[in-house]
Amino acid sequence: MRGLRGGLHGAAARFPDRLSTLLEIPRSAVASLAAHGLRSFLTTLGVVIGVASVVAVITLLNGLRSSITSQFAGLGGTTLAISPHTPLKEALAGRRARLAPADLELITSRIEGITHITPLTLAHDEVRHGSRATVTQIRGTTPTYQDVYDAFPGIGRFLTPADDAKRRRVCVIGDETRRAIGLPDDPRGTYIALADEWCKVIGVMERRGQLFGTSQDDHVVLPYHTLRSMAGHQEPPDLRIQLTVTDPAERSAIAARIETLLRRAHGLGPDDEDDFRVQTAEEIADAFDQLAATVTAFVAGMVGISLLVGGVGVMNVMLVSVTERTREIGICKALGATNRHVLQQFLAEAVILCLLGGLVGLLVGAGVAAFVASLIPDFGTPLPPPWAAGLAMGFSALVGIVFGVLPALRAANLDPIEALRHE
Amino acid sequence: MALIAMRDVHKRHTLGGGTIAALAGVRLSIARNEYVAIVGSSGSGKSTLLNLIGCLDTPTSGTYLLDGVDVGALDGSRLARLRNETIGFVFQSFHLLPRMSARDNVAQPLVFRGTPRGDRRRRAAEALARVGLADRAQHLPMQLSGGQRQRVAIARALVTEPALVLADEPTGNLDSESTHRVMALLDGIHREGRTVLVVTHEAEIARRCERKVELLDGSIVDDARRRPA
Repeated sequence: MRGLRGGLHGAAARFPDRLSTLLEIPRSAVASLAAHGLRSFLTTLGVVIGVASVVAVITLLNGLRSSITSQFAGLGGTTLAISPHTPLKEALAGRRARLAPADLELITSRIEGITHITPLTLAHDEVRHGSRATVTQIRGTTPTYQDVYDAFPGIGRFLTPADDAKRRRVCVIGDETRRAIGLPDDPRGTYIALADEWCKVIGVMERRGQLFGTSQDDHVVLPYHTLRSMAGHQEPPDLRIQLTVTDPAERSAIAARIETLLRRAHGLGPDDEDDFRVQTAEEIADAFDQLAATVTAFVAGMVGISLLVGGVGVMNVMLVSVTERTREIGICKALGATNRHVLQQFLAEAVILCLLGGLVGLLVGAGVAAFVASLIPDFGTPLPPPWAAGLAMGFSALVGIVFGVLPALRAANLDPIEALRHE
Repeated sequence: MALIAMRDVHKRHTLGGGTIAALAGVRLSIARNEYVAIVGSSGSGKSTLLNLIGCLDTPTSGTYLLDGVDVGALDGSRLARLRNETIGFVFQSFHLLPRMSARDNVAQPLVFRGTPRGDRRRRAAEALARVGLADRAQHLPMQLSGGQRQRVAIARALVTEPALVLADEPTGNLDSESTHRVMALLDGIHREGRTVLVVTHEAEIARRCERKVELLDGSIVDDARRRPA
């Protein structure tokens, strides 16, 4: 008799022991999911794919962002870039905005507070040395290019004011271009053919690596006026202007002054759009951020749909599982399981199912990002940012809860007698 | 105080729009440590009575006191707790959880009262030893014979040290040898001081009990006490 009464009272005393129950729920949830391994896996595929794609995209964007930040770090907070910009209406009319040498002269003479200013004309053409040729970017610029772009020759010298003034046929080449046309490590004094004109190599720029998967070492730099004379003035020159300001605090004021000046010079009325852009390095980075945000939002939308589909899949399988295990639920209820026990059990299964899907998705996403990154040289190996990993797991758990509630409630509210009779 | 005290208990089921009276005014009192057989033909209300006694259901009218607790006034979770604390079930078709080992099946009722894992395993192993299946602890139900399964179920009913053991046709699916072992176990449980209720339609089984309650059309028509043969 003693054991009997002791058992009753002991039982009452043990009921508040929640921790053990808390540990028990995930344990038995995992056990019952493992019993249907393949089905559980297939069920979570939707969640896996959703999480994997968002993690891959966020990881890549994040990696790209940090490589851009490090690229622009050299430009600092004193740089302004002015480039032509054709408004859509003009572009449709077949016109193309240009910046002219007159604009450069105007800014140089009228705007104060500029430390360095350099024009840049861009063209693509073939360069040749002996039998080897490559198509590369031809940059026409002035000696201040070095200071404005923070780019210096590793071998030899850069262009001098005299080179530009005398329209000397000299050039500084990128290391990638040097290799492409088979020049020696120190190619100084060699002549290369550029659009049927001979140009003497006077230096090689320092290696800068890649940005967006494009080499930054594949170009030939010539004096601005040399390039213009070679082009024979047939085509109106198309300039970009880059400058550094003396006082970083003055930068936006200077940008505004340049805008006013150029608008007047280009004869734009109050209703006309700017036919140029004055941008800071940060604005360029911001523009990237905006693009990244758009891509992220788009991917988030797709992921939302895929998580919805995944969630419906989870709900479906959980409903099947509840039906299959009706008798088990009845047995557990007879043995003393409360509705809450059963609810927690099925909810835990749905959440764990989704969390496992989320975890697999996280790993797959990180793997995909690492693989894509490995195809882009100098990109490094990006890792998913912790917030993205947390978000992925959080969303997975949320999907489990949202789509697990209905099946779990159905299980919890089963009548024990009916459930026991279920075949 | 009686362990089971039913007064004027009615149970009506709704079926296809109409109601069926499964129990019509049952009065039943069972003291601690009684060994009672409930007999009756199918449709006599045996199962309904067992569900009520087992706190799986509540009466439509009348009162049922289990160990002094008014069962009719309890909500679902209190009923579940009362079942867990007071009653051990043995079913005709064993009702073991198919994916769990014998030991985990036996330990399952302890999960619902939050017993720590180590304790559960120890007590489940003890209960299995009591039914002579200590060496089958890791077997799954499908790896056991019918008789062994029912003994696992009995171990599960005992692991919580319940005051009342309810056995619903416990030997209905067993051969004669297993029947004998299972009944011997139930006899032993009764000797330990527990109340044992067996629902059966086999006269042989009913004869082992001290008291036989016979149901017909939802009412008790016979309630006879005698010493077991």
